[in-house]
Amino acid sequence: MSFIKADKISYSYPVIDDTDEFDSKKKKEEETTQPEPKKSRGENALKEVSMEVRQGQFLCILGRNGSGKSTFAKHLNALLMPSEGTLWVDDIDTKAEDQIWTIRKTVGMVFQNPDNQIIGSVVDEDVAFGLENLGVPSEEIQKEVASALEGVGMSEFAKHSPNKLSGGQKQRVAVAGVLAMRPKCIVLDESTAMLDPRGRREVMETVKKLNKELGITIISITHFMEETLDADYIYVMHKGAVALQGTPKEIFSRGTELYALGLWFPQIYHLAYILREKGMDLPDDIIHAAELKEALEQKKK
Amino acid sequence: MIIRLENVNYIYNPGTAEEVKAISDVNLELGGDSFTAIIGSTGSGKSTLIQMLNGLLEPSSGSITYDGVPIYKEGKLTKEEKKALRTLRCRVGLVFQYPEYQLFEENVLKDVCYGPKNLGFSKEEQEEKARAALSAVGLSESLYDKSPFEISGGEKRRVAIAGVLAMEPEVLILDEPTAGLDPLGKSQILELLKKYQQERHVTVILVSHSMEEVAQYADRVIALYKAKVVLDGSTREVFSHRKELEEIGLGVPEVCAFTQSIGLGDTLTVEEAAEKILQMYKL
Repeated sequence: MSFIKADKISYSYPVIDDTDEFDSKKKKEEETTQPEPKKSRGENALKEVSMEVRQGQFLCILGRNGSGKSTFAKHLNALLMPSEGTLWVDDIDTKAEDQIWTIRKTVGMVFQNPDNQIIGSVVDEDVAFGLENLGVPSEEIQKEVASALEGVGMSEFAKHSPNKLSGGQKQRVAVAGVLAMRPKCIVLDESTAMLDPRGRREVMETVKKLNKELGITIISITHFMEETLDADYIYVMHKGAVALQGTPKEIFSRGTELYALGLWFPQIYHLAYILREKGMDLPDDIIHAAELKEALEQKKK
Repeated sequence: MIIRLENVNYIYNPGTAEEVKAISDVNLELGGDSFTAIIGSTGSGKSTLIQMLNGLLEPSSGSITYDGVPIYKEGKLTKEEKKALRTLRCRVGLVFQYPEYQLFEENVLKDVCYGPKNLGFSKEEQEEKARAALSAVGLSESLYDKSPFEISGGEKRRVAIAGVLAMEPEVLILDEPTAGLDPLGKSQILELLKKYQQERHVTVILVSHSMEEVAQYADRVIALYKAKVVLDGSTREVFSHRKELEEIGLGVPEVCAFTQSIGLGDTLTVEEAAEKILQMYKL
C-alpha cells in the first residue's frame, strides 16, 4: 500500500496577462519578493507525473532548476492541487477540500531559507506555533515541543532567541516545528542549500534519524548528490516530467546522461568511474567510500 | 590591483547590549592574478569582510587601501584621496547572494547596461560592454530582449553576474554565487569565472560553502572563524589542515578524505585522486 500516490498529475500555473503596463510593473514587484517565479507562459509545470512513496521511505527528488520539483512538493501538502490527475496522501485525495488540514498535518514542509520560516522570538515558542494555531491545550503543547526539540537535538536551545542560532540550528528548529505536529511525512525543499558544511550535516543526520527511529517518511529535494547516497529511491524530474527513477546505484549508473538532467556524479562514484575508464576492474555500482576502499583492498591481494 | 587591510575591525551595534564583533583585527593582502576563495561557517564574518572590501561597510577601526590609496583610514580622507576613491571603487565589483532578486530592468540587455551607464559610458559603449558580458556568461542572444522575470533561475543568476562583469572589475567578489543552483548551473558559473580570471589575470574572490568547488577552482584559500583569519595559503596547503577545518565546522572534499584514508595523502580533485590510485596500482 502506498502512502503517497501521484497518478499522472499535471499542473499549470495560472496565466498572467502582462499586456497592461501597470499590471506588468505590479507583477514584477510581486515577483521580486517571491522566491518562486510564476510561469507566465501557461505551459505545464508538471506533466503527467506519477510517483509512489511507501510509508517510512527516504526518497530524493532531483533535477535541474525549474524542472518542477518544488511545484510537485507543493502538491504534497495541498498548497497546490493538480489540474489533471489525482494525488493521494495517506489515502486522501488532496482535492478533498474538507480534508486539507488533515493533509497538512500529515505532510510537513521545510523550505530553503532558514530566516524565512522562523516566527517566534524564542525557540520553543516558534516550535509551538503550529500547535497553538490548532488550539491544543498548553500542557500538551509543552510536552510536544519538548519532545520535538529533543528529536532534532536542540533541547538546550529551547529558551534561546532564534536570531543567534547558526543556519543548521535554525533549520533544525524549523524541522522541530513540523515534527511537533506529529506528521507522517516531512518534505525538505532544498533545506540545506544555504547552509555551511556542518549545518548540512546536522540537518541531514537529524532527518535520517527521524526516518529510522520514528519511521517518518522523508522526501528530500536537493542539488547535493552526496545527500542522496542513502536514499531508498530517487526520482529525477526534467521539464515537468519524471525522467528517471531508481535506487541511487541505478540512477548514477546511467553515466554521462545525468549531466543534462542537472545531476552530477557524487565524488566517490566519480572516482570509481574514472578508475574503470582507465582500465581498472572495479564493480560498477560503488557509491560509498567504504565500498571503494574495500574494492581497492581486494585488488591488492 | 592590491587590496590591503591593516588591523581591521568591524563591530555591529557598538556600545549596546547587542554588540557583535564581526571582524577582529584582520590583516590581509588580496588581489593580483588569483582565484581566491573565502570559506567559513555561517556567522564567521565572510559577508562583513567582503562588504568592506568593496567599500559598502566602513571598518570600525583600521585601514583599507587599494593599490596604496586609502579607501578608509582612521581620520578623514583628503580631497585627493576621495577623488581617487571614486574611480578605484568602480574597479572592485561585488555580486551579492541570490543576486537574481535584484534584477529590475524591463529586459535583460538593459539590466546589464545599468552598471556601465552609471560609470558614464555612452549608449553604444554600454551596449557593447553589456553584450560582451552576456556572451561571457554564456547567455543566448535570443534572451536579451526578454524580461528578466521570464527566464529560468540559473539564467537570472548569470544575468546578475553579467551586470557586474560589464563594469570590467579588476577585483570581482562573489558571495556564494552557486547557492541553490543545480550541478550543471553551478559548473557553468564557476567555469565562466575561471575563464574571466585567467584571460584577464585579474582577481576573483569567491565566498563558498562547497569545499569541492573551492578545491577545484581556487588557487588561494582564506578561512575565517569567529571574526578572525585562521588559515590563509595555497589551496593545497589549506586543505592539508583537515583537523583544523573540521573543528571550525568545515572539512575537506570527500575525495580528499578518501585518499587520506587509504594512505595516499591530500588530493584536491577527483582526477588527481584517480591518478594517484592508478600510480599505486601501476596502471
